[in-house]
Amino acid sequence: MKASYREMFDEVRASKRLNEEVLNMTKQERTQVVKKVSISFIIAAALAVLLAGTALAAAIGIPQTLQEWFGQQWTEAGGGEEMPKEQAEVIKSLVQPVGVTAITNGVSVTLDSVTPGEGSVCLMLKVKGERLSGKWDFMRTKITGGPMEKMAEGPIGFSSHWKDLGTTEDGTQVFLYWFDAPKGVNFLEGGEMELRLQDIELRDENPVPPGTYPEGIMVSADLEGTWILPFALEPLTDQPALTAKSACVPCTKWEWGENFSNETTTEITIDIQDIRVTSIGYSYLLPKELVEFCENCDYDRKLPVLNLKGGMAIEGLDSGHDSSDPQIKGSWDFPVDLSKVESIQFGDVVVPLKQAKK
Amino acid sequence: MLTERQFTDAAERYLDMVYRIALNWFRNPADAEDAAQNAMLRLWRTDTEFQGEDHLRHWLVRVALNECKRMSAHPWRKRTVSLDQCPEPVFSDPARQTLYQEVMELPAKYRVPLYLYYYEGYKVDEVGELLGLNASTVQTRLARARAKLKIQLEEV
Repeated sequence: MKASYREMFDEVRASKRLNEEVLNMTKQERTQVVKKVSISFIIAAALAVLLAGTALAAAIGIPQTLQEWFGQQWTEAGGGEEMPKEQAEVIKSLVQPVGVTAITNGVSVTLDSVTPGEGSVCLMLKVKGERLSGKWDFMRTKITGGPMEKMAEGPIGFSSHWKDLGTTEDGTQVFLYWFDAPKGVNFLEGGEMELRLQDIELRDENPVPPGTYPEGIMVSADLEGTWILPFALEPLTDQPALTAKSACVPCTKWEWGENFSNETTTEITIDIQDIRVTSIGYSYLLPKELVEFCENCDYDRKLPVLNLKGGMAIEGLDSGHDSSDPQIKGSWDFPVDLSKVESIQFGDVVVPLKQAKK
Repeated sequence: MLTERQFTDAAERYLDMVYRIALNWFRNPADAEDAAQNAMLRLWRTDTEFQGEDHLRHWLVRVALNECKRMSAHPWRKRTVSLDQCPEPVFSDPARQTLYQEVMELPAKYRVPLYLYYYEGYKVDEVGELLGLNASTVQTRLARARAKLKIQLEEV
């Protein structure tokens, strides 16, 4: 068994992309924390889409707009409670309809609507194509224009993820696509932008022939094409905000030595500054020690929860984060009526919020 | 601190090893690539003076395992991926594909010691030292992994 086991793992290799990422590390200053491409986000995107053809969801209940999706999220968070009119207005005001379609190689992609945030932009996409009945995924995605032009210089990676909302009776597959803001980018600034999707891999239709020597995970385009979807983001920079100057919040510190038996996890507190909450998301500044490189330690931050009057709690989502950037940005499950917000919570620490001075 | 050339040489020799360790830990190539990248980043930044090839390799194994363990506990790793959804490498021989699938169906606590012992050639006590386990525990896990693999392979 040993020989067959070894022969099998001889053929398991790091992908070409990972090799390139690692060799590119030398092009960056060691003292700076490198902007890391979160490969898992990119692969997660592929995985989510891979499921599209296999998980045929019931047509009923599949949201057709971002507004409907956020409404469903509200219902889930509120345990079926009816949405107040003010909350519905907030959601409506922050969903920007687009309605642009690109058709290439028999595949139609519609960008239905978008909601920008400081940390990410959320897009609803509808995809339809006769050959997309099995497992498939877009091989490349890119967002350009508008605030992306302000992206910080240097080696920049991108993170994004997809969510498959289901397939309607006419075969249209509905997805959410979140693209996290790279360092220096704030999608609330708005502008003329473009989503570019390129090439599709049909994993069921075109399996790799036996005898092909692998190079990591095989990737080849089965449906070549580019789907270009221009869209305009309205500026939302004057978003009302709730703030807190600082807070002492819990965080887990990992330290390790020569082996696992030397490893320790310690619950510590960290001072975060300039906490800012808008209807769409949140931001705050990390202390210096969490931004500096530490060879044998790391930190796990707590994701915030937004507490509303009446007891509803809304979970915060993290955006992809450049570890050299002290600013943490994230979004809420859905746009929130700020007049109902009482506090933001990290672990057990509840931080009261005040209306920001204009 | 490694020179650029030394780092590149080390990456060419050991990236596959680091990736395979992480793949055995997570089973999911996406997480494995993230962990491998983090481990190699630590190598690029470390000021450790390596005493030789064995020291460098041992250091990388240890850092890779630590990265895997740390990532496993991270709160945003809630999105677990089932085995059916994990993309698989493509093998030159269908028997190897089957063996890979069988290995990946083992629990992680069996996969990692199995890899370190059978592929990387660490001794039982060295595997125990790397994983923070008693040698007897490693022996037990190796025996159970072998037994499970045998049963599972016979069922195919």
